[in-house]
Amino acid sequence: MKLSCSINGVARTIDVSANRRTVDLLREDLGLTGTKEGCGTGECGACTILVDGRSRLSCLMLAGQLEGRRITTIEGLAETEQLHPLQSSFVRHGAVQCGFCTPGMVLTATDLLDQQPHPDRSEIARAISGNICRCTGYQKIIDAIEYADNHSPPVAAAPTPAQSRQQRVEQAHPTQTITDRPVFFPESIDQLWRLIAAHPDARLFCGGTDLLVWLRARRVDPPALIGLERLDELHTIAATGDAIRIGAATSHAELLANPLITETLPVLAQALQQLGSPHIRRMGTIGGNLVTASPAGDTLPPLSVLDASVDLVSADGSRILSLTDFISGPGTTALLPGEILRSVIVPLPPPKAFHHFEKVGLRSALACSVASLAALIERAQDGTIRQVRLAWGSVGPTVTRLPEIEAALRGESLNETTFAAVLPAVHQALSPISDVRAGADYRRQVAANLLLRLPEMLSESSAPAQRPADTVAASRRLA
Amino acid sequence: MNSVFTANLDRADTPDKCDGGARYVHDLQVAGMLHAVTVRSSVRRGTITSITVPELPAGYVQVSAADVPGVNQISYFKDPCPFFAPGSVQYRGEAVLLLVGGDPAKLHRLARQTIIEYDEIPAIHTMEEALAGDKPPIFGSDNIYIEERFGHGDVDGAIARAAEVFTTTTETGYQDHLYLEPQGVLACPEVDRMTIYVSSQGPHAARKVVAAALGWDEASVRVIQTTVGGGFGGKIEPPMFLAAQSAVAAHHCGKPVRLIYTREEDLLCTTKRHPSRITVTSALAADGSILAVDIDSLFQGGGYSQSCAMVLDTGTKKASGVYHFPAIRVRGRGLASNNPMPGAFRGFGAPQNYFALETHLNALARKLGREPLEMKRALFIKQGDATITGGRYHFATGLDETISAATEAAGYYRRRKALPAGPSTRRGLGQALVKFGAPNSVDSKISLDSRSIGLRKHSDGRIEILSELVEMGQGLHTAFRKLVARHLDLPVKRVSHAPGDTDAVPFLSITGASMSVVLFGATLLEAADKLKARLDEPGEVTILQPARQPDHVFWDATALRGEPFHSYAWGTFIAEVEVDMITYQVQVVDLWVALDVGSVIDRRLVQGQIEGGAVQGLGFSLLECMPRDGFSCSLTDYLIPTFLDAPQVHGLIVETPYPPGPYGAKCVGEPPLVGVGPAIADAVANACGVEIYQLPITPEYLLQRMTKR
Repeated sequence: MKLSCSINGVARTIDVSANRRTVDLLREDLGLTGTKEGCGTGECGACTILVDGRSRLSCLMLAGQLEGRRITTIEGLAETEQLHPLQSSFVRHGAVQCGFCTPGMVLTATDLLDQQPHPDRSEIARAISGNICRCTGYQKIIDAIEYADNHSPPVAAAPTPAQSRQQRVEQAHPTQTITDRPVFFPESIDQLWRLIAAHPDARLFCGGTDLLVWLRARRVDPPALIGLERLDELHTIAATGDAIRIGAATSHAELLANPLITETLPVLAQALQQLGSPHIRRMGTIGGNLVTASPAGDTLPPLSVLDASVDLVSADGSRILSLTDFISGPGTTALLPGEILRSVIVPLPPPKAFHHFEKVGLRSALACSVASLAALIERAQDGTIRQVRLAWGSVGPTVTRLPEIEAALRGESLNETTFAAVLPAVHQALSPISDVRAGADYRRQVAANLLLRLPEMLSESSAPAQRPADTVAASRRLA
Repeated sequence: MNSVFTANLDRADTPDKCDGGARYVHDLQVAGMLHAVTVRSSVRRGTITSITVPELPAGYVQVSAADVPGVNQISYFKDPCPFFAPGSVQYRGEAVLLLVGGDPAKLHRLARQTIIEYDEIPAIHTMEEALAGDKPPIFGSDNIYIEERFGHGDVDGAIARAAEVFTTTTETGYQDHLYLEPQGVLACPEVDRMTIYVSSQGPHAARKVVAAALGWDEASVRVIQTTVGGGFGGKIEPPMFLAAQSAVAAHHCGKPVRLIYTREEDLLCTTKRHPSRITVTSALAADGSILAVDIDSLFQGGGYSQSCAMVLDTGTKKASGVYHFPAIRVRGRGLASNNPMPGAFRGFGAPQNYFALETHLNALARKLGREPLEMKRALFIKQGDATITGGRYHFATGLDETISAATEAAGYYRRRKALPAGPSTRRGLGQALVKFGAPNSVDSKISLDSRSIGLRKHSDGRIEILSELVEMGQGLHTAFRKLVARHLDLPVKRVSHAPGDTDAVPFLSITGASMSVVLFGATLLEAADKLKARLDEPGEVTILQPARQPDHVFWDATALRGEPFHSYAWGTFIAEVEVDMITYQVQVVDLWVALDVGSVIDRRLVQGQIEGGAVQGLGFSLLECMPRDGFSCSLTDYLIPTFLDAPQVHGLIVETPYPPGPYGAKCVGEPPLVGVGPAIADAVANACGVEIYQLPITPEYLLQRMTKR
């Protein structure tokens, strides 16, 4: 394709395969080697670039996704021969050791300070938690970002690099490579149906944070790709009477930035806050998360307790399915050939219901869940449980609902005794598997135990609360 | 604070690292460059019966053991260590051949189509199997790469007459270095010469290996060090393999060949920390005092010994910790297996042994109801005491000062018994004490004259440091510039480093084992002394100063007697943890690391080493694990700490000058990692009331411990 985009402030037209990874385009074809590749799977953040000013992982983006975009790499951050204030601050604070993570850190921090001036230390840590550093222990990086924020723009200039940045972009020797897979980005639904008809075996994607990992690992090898991200009607969030309709291409970050979601669907917002990393939340979409249908998919348990359904559409018409009918097993959905997930329909939950989501991962960010629990509880006037919905993730082939447990809890008091009483039955009912992340026994026991957090969270606050270990502990550590 | 260095210096390498200008090996492209992809063993152990490579397009070649013009051996090692599988394989992921050509995607496709068939040999999966002897041995007749014993006094007698014998066994698993920059090499053939660009911890060592692989003299090989994206010991051994393989390929093709690992390859086949199982037995008198300690330390090596002997050796020499026991016996054995290949890693055998000993003593204190620091204090090494190898602790120890600094900062004595518990959380404080010997003594009969470091005064007055020691992020070059500037009384900006190029700097050493500043920094100052007298001479002046061990060091490597190390850093680690009793997750809230590093050359660099080393140690203690008998080949499965997992690390610096070191400096590279594990384990034990005998302390392990009670 002829790719037209702006790279570091210069309008470019580049002859490149739409299927080429952005990181390869930048590094190998254009010689912009300041962008690093540490893993190729979105797990380290070294390849972070800015696309239209927002941080993105260039290892999980195809060149075709850059059409019309404004790209900034580390080489283009400083607008003069002086370092950018953030770069100077990294130098001044000893925030750089081996330097391999540094370009990604600096660009992610640029995005943060642009979006959210004066973050506190815990907010900085959360915002950069998708970028891994193995040398510094992170504290000096937080120092550097905090200082740059408080002293921006006039930072005492660090020494100018010996050579001009422009001069140092050396002549690239692009590698000829096999890139025989066409990639399409339809801009209208009609165009989409025509493409699907012409390429019936094409793989559809929306976000690509899983698909690009699978393509790299050769888990899938489709003859063509169709990206849904340019279909405007897949990007809307709207309240329609008694439900909220969320376009499938809405990113997790867009959902978190929307008050309709955070105020009306706190259980979903809590799950989204713990999904992947800040980068993954910006790139991944709710539709993608559902269609991937991973047993560990973070949006599935909250959408289950919210009684969400999905709106599927094809050239022949549309249909609505409940989430349970839509996802039947790991990676298995009811999508028919030629059909796409258009939107997720979430009925408005009862007012004043208690929302809670907890995810057990093996670390505090960028973690795949080993067990999770979403809960939606309606209380009666006397404080007893009127209605309760519970959904577990990662302990079965798909979301686990236990109607008999929900029934047993109805009418009971909201205290530890109530939940402790049902633990043996929950334990019996869950059937997790063992994998590299955790054994079945641990998953079963901890998944059941998560119920014991409910009375604690309820007593702490009648308002929806966040998981203490993720927010309170983080701010305490970094205060 | 007695250091002469008061101000921190901004590093010279960071502006380039901040704006994308720094060139790492995978950033290098040259015209006509070919790419190489490695075809690896898919089995743990076997004889190769056939290799079927698909028909290769024009310009594509395969390169394997048969194409090696010199020796198919990493000549850095004495024990067998081929860089292409020599007709048989010893571990999954071992390199069998390279495919070389212009298109990496095409090469990967060809590699997937290449079929290697094996006659499999029963693989040795565990240390028990290595010792049992019922499978064909991998090494010698007994699978033991190295066995060493140190100690003094009558341990058996003490155990026989003890009122009580207390035994603990601890285990630790694999840890990957997880430097952010995967391994890579670019080999460029020239007329009668080969130039290697490599991310390594020792350009001259790589040169020696490449020369032997090509069958050339060393002068015909030039190694240029590129910016290193993290090392931690992991850029010592693996780059030698890549350098030898790509040099053979480049020689074979007559074209530059670039070999860059994916993260998956890097996790699969590069070195890791040795898994360990260590049993500590103490003989107790009726009053609970320790009469003798017996330590049996097993390290699980891989299918080739690589650095196993060196790691086992230094780890075993450190195994007695900060204590002078009335009697002690330490036995260390490094065993062969067909599991993933371990090698050098920050701490070099110390993290495993300190976890074993400190955990033993902390568990003993809990059992006896004693305050652990007071119980340990009775046994502390004092200046003048004997080492377990018959040498002496010649210099003042800063251990007590580190204990004071850490306990005061943490409020340890005040808060230890009175930490708040939440409705579903418990808190605990834990501690561990360490010493870190560095560098390793070399046999006193061996002259170090062939190793040197130097200085060059240019005619314009600039001073260049001629050193092959590698800046891999730790700040070594900044420390050296400060030392030289101070010694010559010149502004530091006049002092720079010559490029890490074997044509430009002399052979000295691998950069590792925390020895660069304490040993070679002193040699550098001797060079500066000589240059000082000649600073006013016109023109260029070059001084090359041979390395030597300090006068107090005598080591007999045959008898294993004398000073095992030149100098010792001392440290106290205190961890505060919060354990979630619903999920059994451990969160380290604060970590106090008080280290006696000798005189400080740059406080910010020292803090950087402490903070980074402590968080790497936290990963080893809580998160990082690979199945001991299996593989984790992606960053989805192999988890290291993120911003949100890192605790507040309080680095507390104690300066007890080491007279032979440069301005009294000792070392700081490895010590911040080695005491984190036992301190966290002690804190978890105090919070939960169960002893912790395994690293990492996974939630699953903690659940098992707590439900077994």
